[in-house]
Amino acid sequence: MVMMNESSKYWKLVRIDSADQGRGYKLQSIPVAQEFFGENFPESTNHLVVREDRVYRQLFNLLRETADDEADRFEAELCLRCYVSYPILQSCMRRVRLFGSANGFTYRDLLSFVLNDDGKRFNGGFVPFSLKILHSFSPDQTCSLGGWVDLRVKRNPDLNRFLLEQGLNFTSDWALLNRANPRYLAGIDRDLVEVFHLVYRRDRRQQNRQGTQQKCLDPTNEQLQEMMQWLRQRQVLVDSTSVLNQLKRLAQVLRQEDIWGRRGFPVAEPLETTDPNTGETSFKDIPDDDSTSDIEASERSELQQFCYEQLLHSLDQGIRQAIGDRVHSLKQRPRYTQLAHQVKPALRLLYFEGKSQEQIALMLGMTNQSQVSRILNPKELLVTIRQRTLEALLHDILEKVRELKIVDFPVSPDYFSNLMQQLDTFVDEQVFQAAAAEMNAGRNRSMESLFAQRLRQILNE
Amino acid sequence: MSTHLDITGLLDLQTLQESVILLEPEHFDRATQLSRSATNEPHQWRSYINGLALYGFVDWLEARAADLTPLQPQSVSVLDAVCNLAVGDFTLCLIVTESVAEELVTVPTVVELPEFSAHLYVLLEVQEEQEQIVLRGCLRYDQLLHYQQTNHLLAQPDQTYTLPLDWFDPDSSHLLFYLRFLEPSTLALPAIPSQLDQVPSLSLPQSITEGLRLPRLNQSIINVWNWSQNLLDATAQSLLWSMPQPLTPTFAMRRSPDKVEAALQDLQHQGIDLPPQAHYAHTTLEGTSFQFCTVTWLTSTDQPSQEWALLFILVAQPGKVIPVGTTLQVSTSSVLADTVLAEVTLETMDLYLYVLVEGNQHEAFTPTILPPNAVAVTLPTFTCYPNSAP
Repeated sequence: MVMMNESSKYWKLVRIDSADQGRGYKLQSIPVAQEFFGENFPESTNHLVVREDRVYRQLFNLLRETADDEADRFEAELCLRCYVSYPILQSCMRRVRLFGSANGFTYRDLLSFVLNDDGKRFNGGFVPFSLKILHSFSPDQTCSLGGWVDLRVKRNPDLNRFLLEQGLNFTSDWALLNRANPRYLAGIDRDLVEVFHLVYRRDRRQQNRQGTQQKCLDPTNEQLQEMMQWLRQRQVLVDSTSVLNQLKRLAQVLRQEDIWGRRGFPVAEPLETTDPNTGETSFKDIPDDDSTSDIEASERSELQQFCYEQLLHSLDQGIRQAIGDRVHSLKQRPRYTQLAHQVKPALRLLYFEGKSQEQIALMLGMTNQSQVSRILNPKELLVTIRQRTLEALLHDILEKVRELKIVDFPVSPDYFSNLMQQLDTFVDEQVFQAAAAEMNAGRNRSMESLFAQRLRQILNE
Repeated sequence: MSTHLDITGLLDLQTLQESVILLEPEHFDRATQLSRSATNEPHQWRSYINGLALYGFVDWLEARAADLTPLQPQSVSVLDAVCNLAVGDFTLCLIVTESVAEELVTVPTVVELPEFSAHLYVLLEVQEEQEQIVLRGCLRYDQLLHYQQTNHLLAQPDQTYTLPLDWFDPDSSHLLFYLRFLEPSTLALPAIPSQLDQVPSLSLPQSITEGLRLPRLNQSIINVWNWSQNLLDATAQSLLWSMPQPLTPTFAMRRSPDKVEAALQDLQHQGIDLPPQAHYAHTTLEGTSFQFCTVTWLTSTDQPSQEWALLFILVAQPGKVIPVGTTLQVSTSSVLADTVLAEVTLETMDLYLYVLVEGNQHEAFTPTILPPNAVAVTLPTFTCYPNSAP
């Protein structure tokens, strides 16, 4: 994510950025908010860490107290509008994680529904989503503002309509019914699903898979007849057309539940508690994992220095290994063995001559589209290179840590986890953010990133 | 348009962390086969989905880290988890789901038990129709304990825990780094009660025990790796196997009254090639009329694929006979369901039964004796896996 110091969250607004190869968002400074924040929260701007919830609760107080001073109200609200734009973005990313993986849409597609604040005065027309969130938040409840934002994003009707449409394209009714758990249903719905499972799942397992991603077919008449008979045994009398319609209806219900949550809208969240006296529901925040290990400042800078020194070497090693991995894994699959020796030539065509996949396929004599993808798959290669680079770095750093006797060996899992995360950030900042951006740039990319340069170097070996 | 290999879509660093594992037709075939060992819905679908998860995950591991070789688990797959997947010195447990839309993960309480606990819990979402698996994250054992304690996790009536999806680290390369760089000892698991404990130490919910194969809690595993040094592992010792010994050169020459040795000599006379490095051990099966002998040797020591051989011999105890029609069966445990590899039945004139099998390091073999009019006798599962202590 974006690395920045704490207080800028209160005066930099996350906004949609529709530039093609960008991340889809940008940070816009709002001077008026910055000034206001600096005046009212001097300790934050001096880089003293203040608890987040104290800051935003204070801002809410200012909103209430300065009811007369319109300018102050606007500015306090502006700070809050900036603050919530970050969790809005993060919620979109989370939703995509759950529903978008390899579905063909990314968090960028969700932003327009919820990240629509332009940072200007509200003049009675369009209400940005951030304002709706702020106006519905009660600072007295135990739920954090971030948690509230997440809940509101998850319940945004426009966003959910989009997810539903995408889901319709991605998952068939029958797959949805297949994976449904009858225990969460009651009455006829439960019978329908159980009976569906008996017949449809059985036949689905028998299907001969050709690797063509065969969608679940509509139930046949025979299948429906069989289901009908099972239902009869359970004292449920329907004709076979009704069975089909009922199944489709149920599939719609399941789709809605996937997106809105199982228990209806508004839904009970996990770890939500209801106060029996007031009937109010609030969240139990999951406590943050404390980072337990503390590296001395001097040791940290020595390690940092070491990281920089080792980076190129590790990257080179990573590239070599990843290419080797690709070749090896192709050789393992009988279907693709003969393609293994085409890996390097294909990569050279891509990274030296900037050829497109179609051109590469032609030049290497391949007719099958999936073959090209198997060999080239630059994204997968990038993932593997990143992994191997991190492995090389981790290995060297652990050696160094051992040498410098910074911690006891074997290292504790928490220490190792912290190290992993720090190195993640490091390599992404130094190499892989640029590499990913370059890969997104499409046909006219120049491919001069550090990553591309080292890759070409290695390909020439 | 195939969204499968999303080459043209935009890339961001978060998708770099995710792992989408593509399933091949072979995975489906094996999973379907696996599902046949379960007797009814929903267990058949469960086995099928778990099979897809296991086979897909193992292949993914092979592709991303070819040197970390997994050993297939012994446990049954009708739970929401596939337990006891050994990767190097780590034990993994795969938690298998078909949806993460609720952002909650259901884990059977069984995974707390020493027999099923794991250093690393890996969450896999199987998207059956899309023919892919999304690796949703991993959770370390120490983290699970910590969260359990700070969150007072309660078991649901259906013997499951509900964990927030957030507890799992979604970065799949972190899993690989753990496997490569951590010491399993830093994730101390609870000790498993000794094998001599005859009483099963858990009671499975009835929904699981009804009409299906039980996990082989008391199934012993004998590792023959150290037999070449005339050493038995702890399991074989507790089951009163004789000390392994080599076949001496003079072996084939003398006539032996002992039935085991007589059988070995006879086999050699018949032309079964028992190499000089072969070692054998035997045991008496109490409560039956049988003695059982296992001969084993390594057939090739070329890394990385190590092949080994097992010769199982069934003879009668002194003064007794093997009933005609007795069958000796050897199944392989290299898939979750046992597949019978070989089978031989006693004819009138035979004095012993034998089966010879070969396999690679990942394979395990279980002999079973099926007398014509009595209950089957399942022997320990034999593996040949290098480890530090016998």
